[in-house]
Amino acid sequence: MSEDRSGTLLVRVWLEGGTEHFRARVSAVASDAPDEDRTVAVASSPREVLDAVRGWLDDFTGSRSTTD
Amino acid sequence: MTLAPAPHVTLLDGFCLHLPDAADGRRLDDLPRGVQRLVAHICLTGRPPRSAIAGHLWPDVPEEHAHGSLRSTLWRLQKTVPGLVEASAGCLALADGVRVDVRELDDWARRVRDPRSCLTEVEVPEAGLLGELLPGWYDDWVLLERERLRQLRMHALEQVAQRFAGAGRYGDAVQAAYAVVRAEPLRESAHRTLVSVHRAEGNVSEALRAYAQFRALLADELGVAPTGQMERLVEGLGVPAARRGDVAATPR
Repeated sequence: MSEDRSGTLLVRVWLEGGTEHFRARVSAVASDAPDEDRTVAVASSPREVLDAVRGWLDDFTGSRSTTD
Repeated sequence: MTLAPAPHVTLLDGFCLHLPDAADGRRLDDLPRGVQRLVAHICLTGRPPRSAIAGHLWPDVPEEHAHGSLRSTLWRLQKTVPGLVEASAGCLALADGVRVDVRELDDWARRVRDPRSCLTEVEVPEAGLLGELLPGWYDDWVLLERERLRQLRMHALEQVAQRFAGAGRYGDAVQAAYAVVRAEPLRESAHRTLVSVHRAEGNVSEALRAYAQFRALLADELGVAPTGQMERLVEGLGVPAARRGDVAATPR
């Protein structure tokens, strides 16, 4: 059986209350569970989004440190 | 003169083709996947050139191979559902009269944005409350369109909720606002719409409850407080000042 080695990460960002309140939802679209996006993280700053994306990529490539 | 019922393609909440003119009013949601992808692509792109369709649907194979796959899939489609698609040498298009739920959603959102449209023209269609476009499909042309439609629907539902509230149709307004909240629970403008509808109806306790639930959700998920716009919306409704804005000061 071949293993699916592809993934899709969806980053939705928007601003609330004018421009000062950043919001984001990071969702993974998994081919083995196609009915619904899986929320990886919600965030209130761009840095949190970057951390979530980095963590997801680490998991995907299997390079996440065991101490994380 | 009565027009014959037309085929109806639904792409929201999954692919389905309804053929009302068939003897059993049959419903086709088990067409071969390749045929579904071809129909869906034509529905979403209007009158695409054959070369564009082949490139989008078979992006990983040589052009000649992609064109061969398109011819083969089109043949299967014409055999299974004759007359659904009109094929010319250069492009493909849906036959006249074929209805598509996504196009109905687009038309509705356009009417909602138009300040000249009357209330009867902006009634929320079934497509306005359905789920996402083609869930489980990962093609780039689907993902981008899914996000566009998601944004289109959320904005339109918020606008229509405000119009319903302005006309005294508070129940319909609340339902429209909740549809947006379900689509994105952290979207504050949807919660503000909900709170303002409750206020307009004079339901102070419901407004406060909606505010409190959103505030708790934000604190739980993000560790932040609602924006000033939301706080101003509930000013004077009895929310203790000490309670407002205290989340941001709480260490996460």
